[in-house]
Amino acid sequence: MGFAARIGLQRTTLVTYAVLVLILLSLPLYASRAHVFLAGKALTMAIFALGFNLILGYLGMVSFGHAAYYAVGAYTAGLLITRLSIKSFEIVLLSSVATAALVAGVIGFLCVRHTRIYFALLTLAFAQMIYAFLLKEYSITRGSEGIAGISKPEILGVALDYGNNYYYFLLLMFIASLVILKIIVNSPFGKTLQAIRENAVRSEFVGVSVPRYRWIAFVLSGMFSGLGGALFAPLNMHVSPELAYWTFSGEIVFITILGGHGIFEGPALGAFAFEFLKYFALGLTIYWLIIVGSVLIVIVLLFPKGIAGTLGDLVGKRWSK
Amino acid sequence: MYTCTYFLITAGLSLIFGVLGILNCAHGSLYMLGAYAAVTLVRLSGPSPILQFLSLVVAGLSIGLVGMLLERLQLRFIYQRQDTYQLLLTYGWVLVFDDVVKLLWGLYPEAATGPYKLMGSSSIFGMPYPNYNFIIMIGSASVALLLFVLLFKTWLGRVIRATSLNRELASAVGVNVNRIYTYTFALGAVLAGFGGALIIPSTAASVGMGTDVLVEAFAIVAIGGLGSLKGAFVGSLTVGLLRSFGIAAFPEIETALLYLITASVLLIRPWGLFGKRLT
Repeated sequence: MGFAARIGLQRTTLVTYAVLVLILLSLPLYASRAHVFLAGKALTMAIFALGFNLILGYLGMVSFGHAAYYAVGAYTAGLLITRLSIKSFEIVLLSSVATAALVAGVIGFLCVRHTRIYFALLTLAFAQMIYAFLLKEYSITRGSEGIAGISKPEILGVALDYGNNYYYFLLLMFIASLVILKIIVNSPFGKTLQAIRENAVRSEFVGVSVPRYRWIAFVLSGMFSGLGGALFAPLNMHVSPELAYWTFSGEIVFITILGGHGIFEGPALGAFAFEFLKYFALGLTIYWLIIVGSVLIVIVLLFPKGIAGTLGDLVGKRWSK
Repeated sequence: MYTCTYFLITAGLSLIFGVLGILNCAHGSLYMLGAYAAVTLVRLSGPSPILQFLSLVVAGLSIGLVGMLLERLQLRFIYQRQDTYQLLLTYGWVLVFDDVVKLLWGLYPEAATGPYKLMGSSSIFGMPYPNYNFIIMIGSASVALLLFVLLFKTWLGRVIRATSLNRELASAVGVNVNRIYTYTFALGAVLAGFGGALIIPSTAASVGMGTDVLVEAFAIVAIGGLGSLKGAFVGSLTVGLLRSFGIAAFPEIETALLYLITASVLLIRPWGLFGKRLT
């Protein structure tokens, strides 16, 4: 158990992981195409939410403009596949993540010097700038039409548009992201982020360069958001400027809190809960936003720790008896 | 024109932030609700012009009631929590209100142009100019005046300002802080609702109007300074002018420019042009 223990995994957690992965792996065997598509969307959102939580959960700062990096990833992938007809997903993913990192690098550099509500407003303002760019630069981004007809590329020469290949690839990328992020948050770097969250002034006193750590966390978070977006583009086959709009940025905060931002896996759980909640609410009534909004209000008022946190508390109580 | 409605909305947003310390995401939704309420009331009020104008005022006031309920029943319980939760709760309202509007009024934009047609238009420098725009200006100017009188000349205004300066101290000298919070939130809601109601005769109410106006309102209060009414006014003026001339002069970058200005102000003076520096 050397590696698992080193990144902070216990045996029970490892078993839970294995069961969940098995469920996700076998999903295409018994679920309908619509459900598999939904699970795929949830996987891209899970990567996005896990990356986002690096800022919200581990650094304790609310970014209200994170949709921008998801959109940058999605548009980069969409443009490379449709305009330059690049077939190799390796190249597409690497360039999308690199572009997201570049954008997050510049914006993050300017934003991390400010905290609390000012940080939220700044990230929002920059995200709206990107939204305006996507909406108005018709020659590049096709304005409000967005980019349509994004085909699924191939990876290492294997075509992804065949059967459930793309879904399995998404699952693989999700597990890889989960492991990498788990390593990051349990590394000395991750611990330093939590120290900054608890007390930035004291961290500064013991010699930590607070803005630099915040900046690196912001860029990493932007990279995973961009990866989520780049994976979403071929899945949905269409990307539009709404991906950068502020309501989508609100959605990712919602997902993260819904799952539980105090627990590493929480946001991933939130992504699945949200996508399936939305799906079932939409099946019940066209006024699904009322249901989703009410759930959010109940969560905020009564279960602030989210699904994962509340479950954790319940299990903890039973164990202590 | 834009400046007037912007000011009504952002004055409320800024007031709520100044006193309650909460950035209200649902402020745009309250504006939207005000607009829809006005549509219904104007239609109900029949052909009488006085009733039609009165119904605009009633629409604004009714949103105050909505605000009061929201504060009493939900917001009250999370003042002690982190900013994230307050932001999220009000975001939840945004989702709910968007669909409440669709449920009650349908998906299509709704208009009630009675008062607008009634006013006719006059010509300024040879260009036709709708007289109703003067009503918007006079209407928002009188609301602004009333707001200043309320805040600076009455007992309630003094108490609201005192609470915003120091909550503990206000509470120690016998102010019922909870009640002041309710009043302030309701007052902010009235301002947003009235802003929505006023534009109704000239513009149709639509579902996306709340979310669109909210980001602009955030930009304005960020430029002017959170919690400052003077800031809300100057911010509204800046963005209103940018809107009016920007759309004609450089439509391509007009939206981006707005957020560029916002970001620059936030970077250099995070507390805005007229806000107080937080320590």
